[in-house]
This record gives sequence, structure tokens and C-alpha cells, in this order.
Amino acid sequence: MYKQYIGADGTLAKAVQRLSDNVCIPFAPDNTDYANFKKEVLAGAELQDADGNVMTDASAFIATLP
Amino acid sequence: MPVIIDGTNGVSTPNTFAFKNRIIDGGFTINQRGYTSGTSLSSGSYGHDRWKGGASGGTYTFTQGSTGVNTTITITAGSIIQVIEGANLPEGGTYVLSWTGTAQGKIGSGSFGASGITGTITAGTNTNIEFNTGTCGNVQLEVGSTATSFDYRPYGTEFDLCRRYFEILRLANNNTSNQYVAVGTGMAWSATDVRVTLGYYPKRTLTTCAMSGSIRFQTSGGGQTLTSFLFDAPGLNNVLMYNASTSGFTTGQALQLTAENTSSFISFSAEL
Repeated sequence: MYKQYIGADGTLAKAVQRLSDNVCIPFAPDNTDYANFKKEVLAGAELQDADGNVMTDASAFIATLP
Repeated sequence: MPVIIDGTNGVSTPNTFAFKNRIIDGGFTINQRGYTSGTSLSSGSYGHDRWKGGASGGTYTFTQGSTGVNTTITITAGSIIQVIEGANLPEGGTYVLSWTGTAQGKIGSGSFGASGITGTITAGTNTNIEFNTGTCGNVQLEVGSTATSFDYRPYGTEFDLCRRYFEILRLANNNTSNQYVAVGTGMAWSATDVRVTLGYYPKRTLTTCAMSGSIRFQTSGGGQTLTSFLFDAPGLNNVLMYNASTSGFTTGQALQLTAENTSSFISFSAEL
């Protein structure tokens, strides 16, 4: 499971938290964890918004990412 | 000292030419994660630096040698893989993979074979090196079709090569007379928001960051032990770590980040 979170500037961070081990993964195409995040969410893994609500449009969100 | 001169490899003087080995931690000398001998690695999970479980996972045993002294491992189940970054394979062409031991290895999508196996690699392309069950040590991948003696690099150099991909900041008490070992400085952005900027060895790409355990944000008159952190704008060699759910700090207050738990750590990863 993954979760969006609010960055230090008060806006949505350009990163996602992997809840299984609490790592923060930046939206960087060369980052292997980021590639796995996109692949897993597109395959059905849960993505929560910053408030903890399950995103029903996770695939659409993934499509907006680099 | 053997000197090989042939039409394929030119002049090869194994004990002179350094940095011929494209494998990192080929002697299994660096184990930042503290992988325990015999522990099952799931697919993609790392043991010694740069070595991870294969598609079906992997398990290996070992007795770690003295610092910098090569170790032979015994792969008891599955396989282990090292992904070599394409940036370290600039020539392309024929490469030879060599090692000591009974395990079989392969280059990329090639077939498993005994030490001395060759394969063709496209320049600049990330390439898997994989070993199945058996003993394995002194792993080396070099240009050409003739395997030469293992390239022993300085321990500090090998450690830095590993840190391009992974680094761990262990928050252990290393001072027997005082538990509070400072590992950084930060500030209270507000009463409920504490922040610290952390630097680390330059990574391959923007870095995955994690904090495990607890750390103390110490003030001159007290402080708080915190366990939950987020990371903002992780770069190639620095990141902002913060907790915006605290209370009781004074805006602008300087904070000393201190270790107080031997099992806590912060990790920085840009593995392939």
C-alpha cells in the first residue's frame, strides 16, 4: 500500500510513502522504487490520498506522473 | 606475474590493471544492511551490498571475514542477482564473468555456466549478473573473453562504490559515557513541526529515504523522542526530514538530532 503525503511546504509532496516499511519514494523515473510503485498501483495495489482515503482513480493519477 | 598478449584482449597484466571489475562488492566485504547468514531474501530484497534475491528469492550462508577481506558465500536456495548500472558498462561487447566456487553464473539473459562464461552486453545498458546455488566468491566481470585475477580495490573505494546505491546512517550510541550522540542539527519550524536537513553520499538518482526506530530532537532544556518522520524533496545527496505532528516546541528553536537507540537507522537508497 502507498500513501500520498503533505510536504514541508504544505502542498502535496512529489513523493509517495510505502506503508509497509514507511519509506518515502520520490517521483523520479530512474528510481527503481518509483517504477515499482507505478507498476504495483496499476496492477491494483492500494493508493491512499494524504488524508488516508483510498483513491478510486489511482490509475488516472499515475498517468499524470513523470 | 602472468602477462597475456593476444589479438582479442591486447595486453592484460592482471596484477597491474585496476578497476577492470564492473562488479561492486564482488568479494562480499560490504554488508551495510547487516544481512544475517542463512536468512531468506525475497525477490528484490538485498543481502550484502549490491546483491539481491533473484526472481524466486534467494538464501545464502557465509562467515564474514575481517574488514576488507573477501568472503565466500554459499547460496543454498534460489539465486542472487547484481544489476550492473549501464553507466559502468560503457564499452559494450564481450564481457567475461569469473568467480571462485561451485555456483553457476550468467550474464543478462544468457545461460548459466561455470566460471569464465562470456556474454554480450549492449553499451550503457543495465545488466543482471546472477548466480544459482553453490559456493561463490571473488566475482568479477571484465571486458573481453579472458578472465584475469580478481581486482582487489581499496576497502574505502569499494565502500564508496556501494554508497552510490545505498547508505545507512545507524543511530547507534558509540559513546559509552554519554548516550546522546549528535548526528545532525535542525530547527523547530513551528511548535508542531520539527525539521532537519540530512546529507549523504551522492546517489545514482533521487533517493528513497526511510527512518526506522526513534531519534531524539534535543533542546538545551529538554527535547522529545520522535518515531515518525517524512522526507521532502529528496535529492541526489540531501533531504529534508520532518515531523509536522509534534507539540511543545518553540518556533525557531535550534534542535540537536541525537541517537538514543542502537537499532534505529535512516536509510538512503537508489538501488537498481
